Amino acid sequence: MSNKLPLAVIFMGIAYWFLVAASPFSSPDPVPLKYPESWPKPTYDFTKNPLTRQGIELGRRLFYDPILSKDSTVSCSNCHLSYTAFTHVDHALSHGIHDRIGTRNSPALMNLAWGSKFMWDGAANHLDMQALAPISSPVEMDETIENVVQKLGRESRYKALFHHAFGDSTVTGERLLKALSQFELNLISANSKYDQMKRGEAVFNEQENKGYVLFQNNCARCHAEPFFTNHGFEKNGLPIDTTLNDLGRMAITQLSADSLKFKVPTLRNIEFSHPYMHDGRFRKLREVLNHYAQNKELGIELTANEKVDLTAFLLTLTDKEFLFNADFAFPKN
Amino acid sequence: MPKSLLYAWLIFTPFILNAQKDMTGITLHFNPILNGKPIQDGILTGHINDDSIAIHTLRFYLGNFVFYKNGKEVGQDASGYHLLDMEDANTMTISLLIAADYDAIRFTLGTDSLTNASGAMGGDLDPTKGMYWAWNSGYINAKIEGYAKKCPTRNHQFEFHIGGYMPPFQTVQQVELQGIAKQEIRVDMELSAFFEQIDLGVTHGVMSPSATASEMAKLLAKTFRLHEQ
Repeated sequence: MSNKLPLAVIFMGIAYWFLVAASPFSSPDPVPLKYPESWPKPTYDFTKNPLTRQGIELGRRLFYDPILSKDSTVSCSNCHLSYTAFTHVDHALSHGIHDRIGTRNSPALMNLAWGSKFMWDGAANHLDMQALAPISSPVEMDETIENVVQKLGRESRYKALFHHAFGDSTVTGERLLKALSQFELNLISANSKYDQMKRGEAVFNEQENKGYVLFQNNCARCHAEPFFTNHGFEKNGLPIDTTLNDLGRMAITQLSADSLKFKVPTLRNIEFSHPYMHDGRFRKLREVLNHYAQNKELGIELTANEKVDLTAFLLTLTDKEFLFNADFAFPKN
Repeated sequence: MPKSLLYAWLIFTPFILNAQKDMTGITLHFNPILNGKPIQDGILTGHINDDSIAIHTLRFYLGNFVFYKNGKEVGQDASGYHLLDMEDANTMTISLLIAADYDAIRFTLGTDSLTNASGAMGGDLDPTKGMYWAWNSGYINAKIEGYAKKCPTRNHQFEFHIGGYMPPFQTVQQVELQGIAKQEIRVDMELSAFFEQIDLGVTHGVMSPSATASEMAKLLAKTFRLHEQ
């Protein structure tokens, strides 16, 4: 009789272990971020949001799900298509819900773990928080994060996905944003001909080599290797479009020195990310190079032949493995 | 049976003793008032600067509680940020544990710059709480909304969303309460100290970091005081 209580305590301990500690939920599978050894360490703090197979999968579902918008018509992928470097091809200004047109060209998405400010004006100070802007913008998704969390919480398939990714089925704003980040962080482009040349797996032809030298002498200060952006904000001599009056970075910092400064975009996959510039004013790479060559203040002088060589180099930044990666595309099942 | 009780006592007593060891609690009740008048039917009303004012929304973050005794720091609270909401009485009381004797407490009104730039967070800092700006990253440290006859706006509304963490428009403020002799204290927030300094006929909408928002944060920090018994 006197031994029964300790036995009961032990039994309850064992039962607790089986029911709670070793429940059907197994921890999500960690996924290392794969990137070239020569690249610096990411700026994103993965200790606060460790990449997992289940987290990335949830993020991918969310990225492609129009449930994020007010009337379930617009998903992230509407303006960020995987096959076109995750940008809105052919649209100078991206359009969102009810075909409402925004004021900027949607940026290409890749290698985001090395960025520190997001959007053309750097309005988002962290990748996690970036998604709040398109979700709440009246011309993009016109929704609130509160509503999105409620809608997702009513869907059993999402409850299961959140459970797999985070250990329980509770949908929160934090988890939603972190899962989207996980998918986006996973979008690494590092296998272009340029990357292969750097690794000694491919050789540039003469034209590409000449173009690379021209690039290093004229463009690399802002479009710094290996990300082809210095992640900074620059004024590149574009006259203001008076139909938009977009002052860029100044709207965020309120410093007049930042007037007409915009984030330096990556040049990776530039072959597929047209149209170009923050307002998509240039449809062709040729027009971009003409702009730089014609602007005397920038001090970039390019002959017609040099423009051809430089273009040949820019095309080596196309990474078809990235563009046509089935793991990045719409989830079919 | 006595033997089994002995087992239970041996197993659980250390946990019970450990939990009680040297821990004293403090419970802070935050009580917004306007000209000394408390909230009635969820609204604060009063007459300030020849104007009739009604405040229906008051939400703000408090955090980084640090305890002092005779001017020296004796402990810190690690419970993070608390979102207080005038409409939800439960949120207006904060209970903290501290393993020391204290006579003063300091805390921040608003969130620090690290919190503003560290990505998605949960609990009271979850962006679903309506206290995060979408178009200019950062927390809204305090929301004050209501009506005033002098406001030349639709329905005479004023809306102050006070936030900003980047220089020169930071809005986080330090608040200090001295002479704390009890473990349960009432802290009044006399909002007349805020509204007396604002011309609602001119300033009625603040939605982004600015010099005005920083000034308002300072004014709001001045509203805290120990309730006179």
